This record gives sequence, structure tokens and C-alpha cells, in this order.
Amino acid sequence: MGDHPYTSAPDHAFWRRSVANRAPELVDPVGEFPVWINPHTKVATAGSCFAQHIARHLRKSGYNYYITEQGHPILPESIKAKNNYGVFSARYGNIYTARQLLQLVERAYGRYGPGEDVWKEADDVFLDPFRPSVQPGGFVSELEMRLDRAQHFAAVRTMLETLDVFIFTLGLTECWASHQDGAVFPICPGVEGGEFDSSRHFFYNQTVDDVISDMTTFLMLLARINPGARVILTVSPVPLAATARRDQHVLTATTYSKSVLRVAADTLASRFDHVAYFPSYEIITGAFTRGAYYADDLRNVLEAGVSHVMGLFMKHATDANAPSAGMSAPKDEKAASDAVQPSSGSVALATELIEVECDEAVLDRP
Amino acid sequence: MTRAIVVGDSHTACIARAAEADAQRMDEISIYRFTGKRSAPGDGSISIERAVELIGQLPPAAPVFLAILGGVHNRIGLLREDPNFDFLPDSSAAAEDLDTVEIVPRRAVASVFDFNIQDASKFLAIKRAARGSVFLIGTPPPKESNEFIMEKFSKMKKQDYRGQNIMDLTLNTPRLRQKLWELECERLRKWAADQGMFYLAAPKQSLDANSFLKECYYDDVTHANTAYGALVIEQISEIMRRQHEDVAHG
Repeated sequence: MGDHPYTSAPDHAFWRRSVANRAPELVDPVGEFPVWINPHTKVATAGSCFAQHIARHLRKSGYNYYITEQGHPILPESIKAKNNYGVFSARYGNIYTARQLLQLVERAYGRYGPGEDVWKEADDVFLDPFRPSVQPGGFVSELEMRLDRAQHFAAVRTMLETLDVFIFTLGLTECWASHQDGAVFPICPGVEGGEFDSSRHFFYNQTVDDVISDMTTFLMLLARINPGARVILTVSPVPLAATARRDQHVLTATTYSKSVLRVAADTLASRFDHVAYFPSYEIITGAFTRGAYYADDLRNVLEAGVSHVMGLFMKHATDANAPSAGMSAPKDEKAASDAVQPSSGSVALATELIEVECDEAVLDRP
Repeated sequence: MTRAIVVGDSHTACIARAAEADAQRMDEISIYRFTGKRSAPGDGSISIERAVELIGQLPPAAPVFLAILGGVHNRIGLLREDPNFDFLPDSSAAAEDLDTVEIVPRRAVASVFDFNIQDASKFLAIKRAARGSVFLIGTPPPKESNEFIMEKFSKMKKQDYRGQNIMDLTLNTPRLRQKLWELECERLRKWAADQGMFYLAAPKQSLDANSFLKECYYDDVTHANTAYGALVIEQISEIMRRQHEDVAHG
């Protein structure tokens, strides 16, 4: 037998060497990663609820987690957090789909104005349909909501125009849209606000082509307004809470959704020099974890999993000597073993479920 | 014999001075200030534990008046922040009621007051100890005159505030102070009700036509004066009189 391409392939190309025979915490599927950040790099985040974990870790890492909608200084930090300031770089709440991201940017630049743009819940409770849970209790009037939205759009523009790195976590393909003008909502109308009306709202499940098209438009817009911006795409490992597809089980609907997003992310990373893919999806869902990075609900990701993701992110995207608070991946097999055992007393804290705000969780509210 | 107790923070000072001018009142109403950072030995201030003891010894019909909380509107509203901020006072307010600055959602501002009210849970032992009604005394209304406040600043011994000369500081608009005070009163009223207490709003006579504190009721930047304390004493006396009538009529 002669030489063939696999003879000289690196260890990471082989399942046995890089996955099956490695301690789970030492599995590193990142490969070559082209984005480098330093403590001065302005890193902004957006995306589905898993992106909140990335934002939270960046915030405590000593790196420059870039927030352009901080909340006013009269608000104590805990009140800012309760009011969703700083959860992401601007107060947009969870952005689940590529279409939602694109429409946010178009709205922020005045290129698009959806018709259904306010939900009145009571005389003094008004919701922004595109971020319905961002203001606890809602806004007291439509005027307040619109004033806050104007400030929010200004913060989004500032973020896009001045960030260095934008991390976007693709979460879902399923969404609900308006027949009137195609506006997509982060959550089905009627669930967290608004009223569902089948004559006004329709279910829309994005295809690979849709996601690539929306993200391409977004990436080109970003490149135009901020030519130096780099983009890191990730896919959320959090399964769908519920599918709107009556012909599908939620498990197959999840596989479809994540597959589409994963293919789209890879395609975009191949197509654009300023775009990279980071495999947080594989780190959490890979068979090597035997599901240990998921909480008992098999949906939410445990802190040990998030730490694995962010440890590898810091390893590959930063100078190892730069500040990074408690984020490095375990250095030995023992530590690796502890980290994936939620029942181990010494890591009880690390495996605690970190609460994140996931709007779609309410779809299955008892 | 003591028929009511007033206990609280610095706001008790003006009530105590007003009561001192009336021997009968002093006999009926005991006024205590909680021990705090500025307390000195022998100044008559008492701990919360001691207040609980005293209140537990009151007759069943004796009301208790708490002069606590209510200073947050001054803390966040007196000096202008960078960026300056404003908020809608209610659901029907129009844009004309806003300064052209950063708008903070009303419910977010309200949560600042609620956040500070949480600190008051230590005072709930007083509510539990009281056999009679417990009233939360409303905080005095804000002053309208920025000139008065700046004049008072100019006479302060310490002219340095957070590294800045105090005279270089800019005050917020009187309207913003007023909106913050109104919102704080709303949150305090709700908290008092949630705790089974009554809320004693600022005396109506103390308000001018623009709903600010009348000039005759203040001498410094953040407190009300003895004349205002006398109005509060009147409110307290009226409550005691009504409670006495209720008891007398079974």
C-alpha cells in the first residue's frame, strides 16, 4: 500500500485520535481560527439565548466587551441587568434568525419600517414586537416605546459602525412573520405579547438559501459601514423549545434548523474573508460529551459546557497571557473529567445552570 | 403618657423641633432618630432593636410613624448626570414634557426606587412589633428654586464634591426633581400598602401652585424645616384624634 491523503493528515482529522481517545474536556475542534482579539478589540455580540453566555463570559474576561447601550448611570448595575442593558451589546434582546438580524439593521438605518410595530397590552403597557421582553413590565406608553426604540437604533448604528469583531450566534430557522410586509418577530405573536391572527401572521421556516442570502446582505452592509469589522459566526446548541411544523417531531425539526444554520455558517465563512466560524455547537453537542453539557431539561447548556466553549475561544482567539478570568480549558485529564460530571461536588458550582432569558421557552409554558 | 411614636432618619429632626415647641405634644408623641453614621454618644438616637422594644410597650391603639426612605429622588435627581436624563411621568404624558436628553423608561426608573426600598426590610421588625397602626411618613416635596440650592452650595464649608468644585456642578431641572419625587412617593405608597402600613402623604398645605414645596417650609437643600414639621405634627394629631374617637365609640 502506498501513501494516500490520510497518511499525512494531522491528528485532528481522525475521530479516534482527537475525539474518542481524548478526555472530553480536552477535545478541541477549533482548528485554524483566523480572528485574533486583544484587550482593546471591541467585541460586540448578538444572537439567540446561547449568545448571552458568550456575552457574559466576555464581560468578565477583561476583554473589551463592547456595549453601546449601557443603560443610564442612575441605574445600579443589578437594575441594568434586570432591564436587559448589557445582556447584549445593544438592548435588542434575543435575535434568533438571520432575517431578524437583517431587519434590525435595516430598521436602524431607516431603510425598513414594519407596519405592525407596537403591541398594546393595556393602557399603560406597550411592547416592542421586535424585542417584547426587553423592558420588564413593558413601556408605559407608545411614545415611551418609540423614544426608547429611537435611542436603541442609535446604539445599534454606533455598535455596527465602531465595533471590531461581531459575534453572531445563529439560533433558529423557524419564525413568524407578518403578511403585511414580511416583518419577522422573535417570538410568535400572542406568546409574550400581541395577538396571534392567522390572517396577519404566517409561519416561515428559513432554508439554507434564505439564511445565506440574509446573512450575505447583512455582511455586505456591515462591510460597507465598517470595512474593518470581522465577524464570528456560531450556531446555538440549544434545541428548539417547540416546533410550529405539524409534520415534524421537535427533534427532527431541531436537526433541520441546526443543520441549515451550520451549513449556512460554513458557506459564509468560506465565501467571505472577514467571516469565521467558531464551533461552539460541536463542543456542546459532540458525542464525546455524552450529553453532559446539557441540563436535566436536555436544552439548557450547563456552565461547564460554556466554560469549555469560552476556554477554547480564548485559547484560539486571544493571547494566552492576556487577561481571561477563569476561562481556560482544564489542563489535565482529572480536571477534564470533573468538568463534565455535574454530580461531582467539587464542580457543583461550575455545573450550575446559568439562567438565560430564552423567549421561546415560554412556548411550552405549563 | 406616650400615645404615639415617630421614629426614623434625618426627616425626624424637623418634626422633633416642631414638637419641642408644644409641651402637650411632647407628652403625647415621642420622637426618636435612628442611630446612624452621624450619631454621637448621648445624642438620644436609638437602634432599630431599641425602637422595637419601645414600640412593643405601646398601648394597642397607639400609632407608629416611620420617617424612613424617600431620599433617592434627591440622590439621583439633584445633580445633572452625563448624559442628562429624563423620563415620562405617566402613560398620558406627551413629548413636550421631556427634555431632549437620554430617556430612561419609567419602569426602569421605578425599579431604582424599588431597589433602594429593599434595604428597608430591616425596619419591618417595627411593623411586626407594633400593636397599633403603622404609618410611613411621606418624604417632603422638592424645592423649585435652583438659585436657592446653588446659594446654599456656595455657603457650604466643603466646596469639593467628587473632585469637582461644587459651584461647577449643574443642577437638574426642578421639573425632573418633581417627577422623581412623585414616582418615589408612588413606589413608597405601594411598598407601605404591601407591608400593611398606611402612607402619610406630604401635607397639602406645604405645596405651592406648581406642586413644589413652599419656600416657607425649607431652609436647606434636602430637608424641610420646623414649620413643615408642625404640619406633619398636625397630621399625626389628627390621626391620633380619629383613633381615639374610634376607640371611644367602640
